Amino acid sequence: MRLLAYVGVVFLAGTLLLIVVLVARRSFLQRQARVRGELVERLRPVAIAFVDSHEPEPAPELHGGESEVFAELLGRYARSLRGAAWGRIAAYFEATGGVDEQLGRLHSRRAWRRATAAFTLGDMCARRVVPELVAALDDRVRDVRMAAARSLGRLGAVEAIEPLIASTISGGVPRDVGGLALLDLGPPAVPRLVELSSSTEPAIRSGAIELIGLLGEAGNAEPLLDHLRDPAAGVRTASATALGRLGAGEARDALVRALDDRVPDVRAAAARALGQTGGQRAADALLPVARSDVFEPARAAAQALARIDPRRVVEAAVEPDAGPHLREAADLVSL
Amino acid sequence: VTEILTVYSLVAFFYFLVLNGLYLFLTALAWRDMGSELRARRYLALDEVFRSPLTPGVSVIVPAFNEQAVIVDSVRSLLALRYPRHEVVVVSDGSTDRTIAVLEEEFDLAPVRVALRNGISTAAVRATYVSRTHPNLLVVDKENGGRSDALNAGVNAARNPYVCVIDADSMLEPDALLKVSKPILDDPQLLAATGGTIRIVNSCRVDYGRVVDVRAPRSRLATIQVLEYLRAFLVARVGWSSLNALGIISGAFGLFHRSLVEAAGGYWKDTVGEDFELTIRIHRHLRERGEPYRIGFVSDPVCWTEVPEQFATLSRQRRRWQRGLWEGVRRHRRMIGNPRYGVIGLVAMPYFLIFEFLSPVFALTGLLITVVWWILGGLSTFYFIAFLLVSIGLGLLLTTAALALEEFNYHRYHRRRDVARLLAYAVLENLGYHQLHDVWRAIGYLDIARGKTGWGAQPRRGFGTSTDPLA
Repeated sequence: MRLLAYVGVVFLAGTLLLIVVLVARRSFLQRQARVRGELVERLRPVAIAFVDSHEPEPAPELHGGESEVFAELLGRYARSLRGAAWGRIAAYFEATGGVDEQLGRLHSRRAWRRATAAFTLGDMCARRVVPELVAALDDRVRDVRMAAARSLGRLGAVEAIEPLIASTISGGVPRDVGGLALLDLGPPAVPRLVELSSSTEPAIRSGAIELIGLLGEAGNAEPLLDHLRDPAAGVRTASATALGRLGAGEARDALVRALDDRVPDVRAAAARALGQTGGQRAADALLPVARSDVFEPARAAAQALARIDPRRVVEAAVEPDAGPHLREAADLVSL
Repeated sequence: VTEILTVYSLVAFFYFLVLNGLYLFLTALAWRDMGSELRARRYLALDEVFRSPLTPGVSVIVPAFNEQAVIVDSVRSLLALRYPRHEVVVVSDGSTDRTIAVLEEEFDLAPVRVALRNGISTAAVRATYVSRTHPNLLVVDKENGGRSDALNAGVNAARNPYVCVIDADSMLEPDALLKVSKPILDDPQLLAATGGTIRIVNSCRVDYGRVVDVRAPRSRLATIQVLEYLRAFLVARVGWSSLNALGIISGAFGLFHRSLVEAAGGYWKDTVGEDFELTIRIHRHLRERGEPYRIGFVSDPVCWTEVPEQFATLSRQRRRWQRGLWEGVRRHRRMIGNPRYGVIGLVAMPYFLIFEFLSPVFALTGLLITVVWWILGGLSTFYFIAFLLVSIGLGLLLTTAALALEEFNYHRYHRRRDVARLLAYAVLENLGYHQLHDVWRAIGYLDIARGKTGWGAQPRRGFGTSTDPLA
């Protein structure tokens, strides 16, 4: 019974202690936020002047917390800058030792430190860290790999295309992170992606083709045409989508044939692609699909047809066998 | 009799110890996870998700029944969400007020014969509308069929691969959809669904569908609910999620693969706890197929919601929750203690039955017996005081830990007096409210026995009227 009373007292004492910590921590955080807010206000014009100047600007002399806030501001600006300003930011971080400091943290035992360092290095515009970031793509912790992939994209590290593609396709980094990094690298990634589109692995083929659609140009459409007859439905879908994005007029006939594919997702992708490539023959082929196919292909076909020939949709929608998708498309056209 | 009372008193006390031990364990897990989450914010890269053409679309589904007071603010906040591709699907579930009319006026709706999937059967759809000013706003007007039916109609109408379900009296913060979807985007094969935190909007200042000044509610009842929500979301859900045993994604804010909801059969119409039931059914569906999966909780994204300020309304809500809990547990009773369902069958489902559903029985009878026994002289005053000390002390400790989590990590309440008010109510809620809450939930047993169905009236004040800018 006495023990019970002791336990109760311990709980109450614990609560009081927690309240004291809470109050102290709250005061500390509030003071910190106020000081930081003031520093941001004061240093923002300095940071803007530093990155915006046409003449070589000497780095401002900063002390204590000022350097941290200034570095944060520069890192944020670096995400939307290129050219001379980018070079100035890189030089600043090299001169202040920021890059070396983050490189050191990239080998920390704590995963969150490695991830933070990999992420921050991307904002420091320091291209010399690319090999270390490529190595970080093999880190055992996914957050670190993701941060490294993101930074390689930010740094425009064309030499990292191969490991980035490998890491994205193997699942080492998520598709959205790896894909965006490759998008940041732009068209130089396309030749290797074209090679990978012939891989024996369907997942690799579809991933590579999807990225070709996002990064490539009309001239990259040719090798994708054969993939509309790929044995894997996912590859056929990716191929149709990519051909649509590339606006490949020469793919029209193959896409029309893909409207008869046995897999609804492929038919839907082909219909969407035909909406992007356009043409009378595409419109003729889309109408029966919009009228009578299953939900997704019919909806995609109706929307594609509305894009190519809105009047035809409105006329077709009044027919008794129009179906719900043509009616929806016609109503949307009339809005 | 004395022996029976002694044994029962010990059983109740043991129950209390196990339950609170579990809460302490969940609190410890929440503290650990919160630290990781705080650090991970440094490399979250939400801007990248926002600008990526690879980010998949999300359909935000808003079921609405007589929501004319709040629907415009709610839709406005949803349309303004920071997400690269999203649509808002409002489903008016046979509203008899001006819900459709106010939407028509505000968003320039035009009737469009939208093609709807028929994967999940629902009550008849009367009309569908698309906004001329916001093409990503779709409004479905259907016959009344209940909240689940409205959600199913929303899933049928959704045009994106993911659906986010939120209440009409709720508002998402601008980044909330990005944040709640990030884990799924990063691991779409593993993450089946995610949920975010619900916070209380009563007395906050709301401007154009956005919370611009967070304040503790002035209503006593709403203030206590702030503490309940902090414990439920920042502690319990974070803790359960880290055990991969999250049993509920709140109906007010959850993100799912649309195809998974369809494959699982949509929301169950014969329950008032459709969010709990669907979450459990998804666990069951995926476990029975042997598919690896996770259902996750992300504490950072916030959905603001209005809570009842009247005892009668709150009582109805809690009784309804109790019924919903029973309906879900009963439907999936074969999962309880069944190793086939892993941690959800062995830990979470028994927890829901024993420590959630049955807790009013133990709490009320335990207290009653202890008090009566003390009055009759069977129990020493020292034991009685020690018992109260432990009960209240532990409750206080858990609540203060939840409040500290909120303060250290999110710091939403900027005014000192708001935090002081919450701390004061952490003490006061032990002196009557908890007991009353248990009584309401015990009345829920009667509702279950009587076979009660339906939601009952849910009066809305509207976000604009819940604040006083001069206060």
